[in-house]
Amino acid sequence: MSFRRWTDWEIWKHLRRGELISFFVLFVIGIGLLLVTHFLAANYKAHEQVLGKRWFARGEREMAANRPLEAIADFRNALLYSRENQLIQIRLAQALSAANRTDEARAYFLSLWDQEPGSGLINLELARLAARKGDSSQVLQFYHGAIYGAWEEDPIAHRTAARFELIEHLLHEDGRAQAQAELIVLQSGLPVDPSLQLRAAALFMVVPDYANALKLYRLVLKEDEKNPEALAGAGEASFQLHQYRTAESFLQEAVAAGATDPHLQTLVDTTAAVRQLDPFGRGISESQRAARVVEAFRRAGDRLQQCAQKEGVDLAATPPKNDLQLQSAQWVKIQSSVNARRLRNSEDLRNDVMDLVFQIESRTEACGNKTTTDTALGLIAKDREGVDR
Amino acid sequence: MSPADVNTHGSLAEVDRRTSSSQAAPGASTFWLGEDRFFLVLSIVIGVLAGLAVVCFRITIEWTRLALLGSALSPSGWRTIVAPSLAGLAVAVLVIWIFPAVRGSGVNQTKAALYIYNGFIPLRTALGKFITSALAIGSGQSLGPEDPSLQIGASLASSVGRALNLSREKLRLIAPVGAAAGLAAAFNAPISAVLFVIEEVIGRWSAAILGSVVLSAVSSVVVMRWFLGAEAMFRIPALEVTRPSELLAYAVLGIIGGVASVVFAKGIGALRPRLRALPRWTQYLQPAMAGLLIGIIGYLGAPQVMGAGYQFIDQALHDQFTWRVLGLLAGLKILATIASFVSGTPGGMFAPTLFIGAMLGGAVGGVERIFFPHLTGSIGTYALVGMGVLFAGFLRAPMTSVFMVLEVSGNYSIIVPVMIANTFAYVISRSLQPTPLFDILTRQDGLELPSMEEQREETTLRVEDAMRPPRVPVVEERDTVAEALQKIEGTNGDNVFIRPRWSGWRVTSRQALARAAEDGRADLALREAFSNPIVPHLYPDLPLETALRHLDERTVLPVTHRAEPRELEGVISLSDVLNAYRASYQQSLSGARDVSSLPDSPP
Repeated sequence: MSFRRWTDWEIWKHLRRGELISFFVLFVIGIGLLLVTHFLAANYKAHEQVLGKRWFARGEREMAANRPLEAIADFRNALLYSRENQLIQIRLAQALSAANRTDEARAYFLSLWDQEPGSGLINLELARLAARKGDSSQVLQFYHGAIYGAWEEDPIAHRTAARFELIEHLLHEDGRAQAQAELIVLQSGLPVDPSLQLRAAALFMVVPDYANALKLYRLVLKEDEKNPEALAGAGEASFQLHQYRTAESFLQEAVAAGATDPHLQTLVDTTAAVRQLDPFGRGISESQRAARVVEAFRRAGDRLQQCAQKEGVDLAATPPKNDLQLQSAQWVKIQSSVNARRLRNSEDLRNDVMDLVFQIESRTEACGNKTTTDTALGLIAKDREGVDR
Repeated sequence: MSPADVNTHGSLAEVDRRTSSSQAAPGASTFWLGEDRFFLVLSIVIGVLAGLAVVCFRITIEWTRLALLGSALSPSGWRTIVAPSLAGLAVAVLVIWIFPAVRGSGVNQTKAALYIYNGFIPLRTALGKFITSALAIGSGQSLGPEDPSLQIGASLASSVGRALNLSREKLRLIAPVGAAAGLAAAFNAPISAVLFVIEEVIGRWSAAILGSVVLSAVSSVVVMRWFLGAEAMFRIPALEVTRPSELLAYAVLGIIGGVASVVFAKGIGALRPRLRALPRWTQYLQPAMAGLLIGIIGYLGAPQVMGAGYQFIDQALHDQFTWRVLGLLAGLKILATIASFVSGTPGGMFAPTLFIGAMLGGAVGGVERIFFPHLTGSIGTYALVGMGVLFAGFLRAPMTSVFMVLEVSGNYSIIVPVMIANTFAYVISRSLQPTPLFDILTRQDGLELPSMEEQREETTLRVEDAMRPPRVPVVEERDTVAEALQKIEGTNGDNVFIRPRWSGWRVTSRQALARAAEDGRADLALREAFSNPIVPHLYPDLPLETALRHLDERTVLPVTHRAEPRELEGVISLSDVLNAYRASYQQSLSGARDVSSLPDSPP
């Protein structure tokens, strides 16, 4: 029999009465079953939602109370009723991670990552887990995934925080060059936020990249010129860059602004000593230079004596045998010529005397008991080396 | 007919009565659309009804679980022990007094409906299966909802078919159509459901039934997803098999999975008849005792073995257990499932099989990674392959096992490990236990249903197995009668084969040629002298039954080359065909003698 339109009434005449009844009953049963199923499904789904929310809230409470094991069970129960809920899945994985069940957490996050490889949060969690496992290649991959990934709320803050974490991880793993590169990228897009700028500057100090650190400290000071942390940081960065005048200024301001770091006073003293002892500094007279050389020469002689005493070396022995005795012999040899008048007139002599001073300071460094003057002379020597180079 | 059969389907008289209206003229259509087309439309309706029923079934299981075990994933406290025990008692009462046909998984009952009862499965079976399975699974018995869904679907389909007075032929086929719908909805995997029904219930590929099965499976899955969402059964983690050498690791998994399958199947095969032979009053207690055992296991720290356990399969796929826990769970689940199933508690074997496979796979993967840390496959990959392995080894559905893993994972890179592991599991399972579990259960029930595995492996006799070499007189169509007589002089055989110029062989007899010469047609070409019809084309690769359709006691037919129809490959007669069948029968008898010495065979 060929197809005919079902609206053609003639075709229904072929059906037996019983079949018509059967069709009708089947139709009624189908509709009835549909309604029952709809009612059951709607009811059950509503109940599922309630249960899912209840277990999730419980899990959140357990996490807040730092009970990750209990939270794991709760989040798993929540997932039973809300399987595709990614937030619950992420919380569960975070709870696993918090409970130090690294492998399980990692497996969970990896499956989430598979679903959403561009998620910043998932990448960040995976990066942390990889860092915990010491898998450096994955650390970089996932941290970069977090930095360049998608964040639902405040993406800039999350990306910045992720990069900070990466940098801190790299510094912890002694990857200074890579950390510096990441810091430079970070610096270029850093929001105008003193706390973030200070954090970045501090990391630049650890790298060390004092120039960029100083740049950031100056940025902070532009907004808040009395910020003690920025002043201290700028002072130390300037000090490390051998900009002692600037350093002294920043450091003194920092102390005045209430910076309490005990290391700060040492820096202030050392900076002052450098500024007072440096015979090569600009803007001082020849007499001052000569006086500073005399002072440095005298201090070198004292340092030789102290060190010889500590090591039990007789500086008067002839012929001189060890380096201390040799340096002492040299010191004695030029002692008569080291006077203000001759030094004022001869730059070569000043240089020769200061070279001997630097050699003595360098040799006697191992003897300990360094004074601020010794440290200052060491710094001046380094500075001088840079100039010579 | 055994009491079990009466319980399952009513008496044969009842079956005959209930199906009598369809028996008068098989295939005769009383439908304006034509019965074949109507059957296709009906398949969609059945799919929708089965889908709705399965949605209700799954929700009922969940409500039961919430009521009896609470809303936590892992039940705890006293109810872990009490709920499955008391529910077991209730199930026993229901099964013994009200729904005796609902014992077991339901796969065999559907097969029995197809092969023995003309597709008859009472609606009461669906109702009973629904209530008792929901109660059993919801209370924590170690069984799954898939096989019951299959039977519920089959029962609904059978009822609809009977109500619409389908012919006997269609009524037989309608139960598998409903079964596929039920399984597809329960499993959320239409391809696997279709394959399983064809592989394990129908046992053959037939265009007539395939369309209906596919339509019903798809429509039931659509309904199920409409109500319960399109979420996959498991969230599959990223899977990758990077090194070919890792396939060895999956082969090892296949071997271990094959052995575990045998342990599992033998446990059921050995304990089930023993428990059924115990006094009747113990039947009330058996499901309760199984529930008690499972409850104790749960109470002592492994609540994962309770119920279908999908969530824990999901966790295993996500590497949430150590290999020790996975191995322990696999062992405990085997124990729990054997207890539940042999106690006669209604429920399915699919979910426990997947659970055991996932846990075992994960455990084997975990151990292998300890010894070979370079293996890149995750525990989830091994767990997924393990699911297929148990499916192949325990349920003995090799094709479904492969497609099931593909359908569940949606990842085709897993196919090679799955095929390798499944093949090992299947071969080992077959070697250690030649009779598949479903056949063991059928025989224990006193039924003799066709074994799908045996059917699959049955050798098809072909024309080439029966034909004789072409030592017969052959003449050309263009030869005259005189030339033909000259050519056949000195040859044997009464039949003379006339080779065509292009195609179409004819056969005549020596006497007919002689008569033609005597009648004065000696100078006529054979094609003019004879008007014998062209004999059917037979080729060596055709099934022997094709030849049988064209042969009578006197006929001898030519067997020709497919590429060169004028080339005679051999000849075949009815006696040749019968001889080939006899030889094959003798061979099968000797094979059967080997198998009958095995303990699984019926006495």
